[in-house]
Amino acid sequence: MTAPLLSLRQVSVTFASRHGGGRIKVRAVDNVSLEVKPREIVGIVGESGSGKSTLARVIAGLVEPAAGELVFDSADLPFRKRPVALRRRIQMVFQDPYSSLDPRMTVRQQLAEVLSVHRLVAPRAIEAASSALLEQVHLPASILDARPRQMSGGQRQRVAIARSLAVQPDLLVADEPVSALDVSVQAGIVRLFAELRRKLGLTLVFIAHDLAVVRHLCDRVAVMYMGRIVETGATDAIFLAPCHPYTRALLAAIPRLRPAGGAAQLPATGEPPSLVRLPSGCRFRTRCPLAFATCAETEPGLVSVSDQEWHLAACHLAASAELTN
Amino acid sequence: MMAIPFAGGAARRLHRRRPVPRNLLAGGLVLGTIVCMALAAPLITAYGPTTQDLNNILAGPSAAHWLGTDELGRDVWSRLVYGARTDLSVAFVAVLSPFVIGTLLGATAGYLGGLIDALIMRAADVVVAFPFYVLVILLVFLLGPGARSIYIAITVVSWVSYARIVRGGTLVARNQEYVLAARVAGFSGPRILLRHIVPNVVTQAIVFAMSDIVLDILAIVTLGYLGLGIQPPAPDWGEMMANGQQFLTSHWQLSTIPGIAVVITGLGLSLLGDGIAELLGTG
Amino acid sequence: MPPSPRPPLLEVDNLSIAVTLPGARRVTAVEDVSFSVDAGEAVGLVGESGSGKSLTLRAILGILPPGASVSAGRVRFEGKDLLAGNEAELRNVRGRGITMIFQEPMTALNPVVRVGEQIVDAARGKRGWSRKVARAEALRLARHMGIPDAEACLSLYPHELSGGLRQRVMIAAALACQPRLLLCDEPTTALDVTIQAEIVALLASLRAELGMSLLYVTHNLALLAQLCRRVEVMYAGRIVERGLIADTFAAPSHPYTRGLVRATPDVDSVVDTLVGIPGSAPPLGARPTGCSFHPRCETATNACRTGDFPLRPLGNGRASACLYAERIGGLAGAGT
Repeated sequence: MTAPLLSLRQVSVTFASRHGGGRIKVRAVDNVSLEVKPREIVGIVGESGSGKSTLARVIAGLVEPAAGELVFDSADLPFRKRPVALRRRIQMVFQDPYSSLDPRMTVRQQLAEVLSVHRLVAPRAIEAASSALLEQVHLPASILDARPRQMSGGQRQRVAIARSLAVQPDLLVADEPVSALDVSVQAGIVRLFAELRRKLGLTLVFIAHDLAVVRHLCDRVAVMYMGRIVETGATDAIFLAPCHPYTRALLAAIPRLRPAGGAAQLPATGEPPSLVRLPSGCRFRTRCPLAFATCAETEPGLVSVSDQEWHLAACHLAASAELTN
Repeated sequence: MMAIPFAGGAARRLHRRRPVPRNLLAGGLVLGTIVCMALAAPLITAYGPTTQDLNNILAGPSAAHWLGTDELGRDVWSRLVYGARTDLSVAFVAVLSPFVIGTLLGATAGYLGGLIDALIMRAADVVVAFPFYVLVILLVFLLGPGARSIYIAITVVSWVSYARIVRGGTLVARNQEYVLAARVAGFSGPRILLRHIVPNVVTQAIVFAMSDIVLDILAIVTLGYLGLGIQPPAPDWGEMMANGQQFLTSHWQLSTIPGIAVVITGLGLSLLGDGIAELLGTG
Repeated sequence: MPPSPRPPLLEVDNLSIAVTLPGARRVTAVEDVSFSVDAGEAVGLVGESGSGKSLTLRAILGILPPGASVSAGRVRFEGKDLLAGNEAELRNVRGRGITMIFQEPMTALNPVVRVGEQIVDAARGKRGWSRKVARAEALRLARHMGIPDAEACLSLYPHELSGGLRQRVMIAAALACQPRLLLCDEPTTALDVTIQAEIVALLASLRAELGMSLLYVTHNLALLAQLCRRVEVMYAGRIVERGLIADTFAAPSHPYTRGLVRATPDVDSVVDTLVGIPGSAPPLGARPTGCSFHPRCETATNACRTGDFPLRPLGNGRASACLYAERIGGLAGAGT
């Protein structure tokens, strides 16, 4: 059993939110624990308010958690004052290709800056190193002279990926990297990530709201709802035998090109609750067609729900079904 | 994997071909003319600005003196052109200092937030509580008239606008993903501020500086009119207007002509500022 | 498919839209687009960024953004030319015959007016009802849209509602005058997928119930499959394929459509095939000569580089702009 590269243990993030006159603490991420093994691609899916982006930023060191700890490569990962050497090993790719590159700098300048600040190559080797980086993301060297506004969304995203690869990270956190791209361009970026894992041994945490993309890329998936992980497991397990009603609702809601007999179509009803006033007990119960009495009383914990390894779900119903099996 | 065709060629051509805005051309023309004239002052004037000719005071326009002479027999045309030198150069320097200081303070306030932001912004509030001219005149009066006092006074009063503009831009920029990417890449705070945020935010400050120059010229001229500005014998449009006041009924050109010069210069600078705003704004 | 007995509700004939770029260059953003929508029919207009689909939609109602204008063509609604009429006539059609819902309800709704009022305004403005009658109608519509606790919700401001609720409010306001045609400009793109599913189901049921026609613009192929019967595929300002959705997505007859279908990730598929389309859509005013898709097309030949490629009918209501449509679509007529 290989040691995980990244471990999140009971991480919580709170934001102060101005609500109805007073200031209320909102838990954007609530007691999340997650493990990522080396060379693994883990997908974190959820809709708005799920906390997945906040979680990504915690991993990348942009947001400080209120509680919990991070362990990276068997050593404690501090939140503030993360030493540069450690920062290098975890990089991030963002959602909007239009604002993730400095609009005033050429590609050459942006790549060169990263390379020179970290003193990764001798100054005279920077040009060659930049071209090599671009080659890794399948962009021609001619793009070095371009500014962001002269490039397409897909090209910008590739440059952003190249820039994050410049410091040779061990872990890449991608926050919805394809959501803002046309579907015909998405596929290229998704394949690029798969290729980078193969060629560079990169570990990837892939945040998305599109389950279909996640299915094509990730080894494991964690489904988040209102700040908590509600189900996690191997990709096939999650898609073929989802246990948590929210996961099933997500799968049911995705439109399909060819109407399939979708496994266990179980739509969710109603509006998601506000993070400020979460329902008692299970936070999904207000929209869950299978909710019963216990759901309003106690919040379900993540428990193993099938004999599949590490398939966990936070649902009273699923847990009791497993018990009776 | 197929190499992706780089559409840069077409896209680049599309963007470079942006024509120069008409405002920019007009303003550039007007201002350029004035600046050239000011630079070429010795070449286009026959007399020095301070050369007195007491035998020929208050003369009307003539072949020898294009715009006539003032009450001390000095050539009005010369004083106008040399006055341009003085006023323009003082205004330019006077706008540079608040621009630099205000930009740095605003960027720092916006990026760091917290106590430093509060301190800088409260200082700004104090300055802004006083009307512009009241504070400038007071400072110049206390420091003694002259160019140096003008620089100090205008700097103390004007940095606030730049600071606020740049702070606003910084607040927006610091949440942009390219700034977050820089933080993730491990760049230091000052580096991010100076190399990433400020270059993207400073365009707004530059545009503001163009209109600020006009205000500064007016301020300098006003101070000159009040006798607090650039001291004689250096020629100054404001001083010219003040002196010419007493002859308004008989020789109105002594006050009016420098006034017109101020208006034209202000117009040129405004057009230039608009033009630069257009040029930078669509970038 | 037997021809429809009634004339189409909406007919767009050879519509071209020109756009002025910064730098005063005028380029064609939409070229020679023709399609029709029958009464009670749902038609999808699909394309990616730069395809001109949103502009086409806006041209129908005459709400093109500044700098864009119709340079050729006709738009006929119930036989009447919308573009030729004056502003008063156009306003008459807007809201009563045709309405539109937008992508971002936050900007489409007035932020300082309670949402109930906005629906009432929509109803009164067009039907000349009294306040009381309009209020009752607004409440009925809100409930019909599935807005929970409708009475309370209507007294809220837009920012106090979630994205999904705002969208329902916008649809309610749009339906207040019982339009015969509803134009939808990517109304669910900004919504969560579970909410999107509900809105789409709502639109489908409304269409069935009111016999309303739908012209739905989106970049999401799968979404169209849920809602529409026919599809028009746009690329670089032109329609490159049309047909029934079931036929078109199952066996596309244009390489671009085929590329889109292949690139759409299938959540039910176990096989790892996600294929994109290399390159990117041509920027405005820089369309390649010949077939505008050929630089990105894997089946392009020399013949594709020059000439005109208008839509060719392929039978069964299908049409394609590709030279090799029959071969690509596996249709009869290929290779014979």
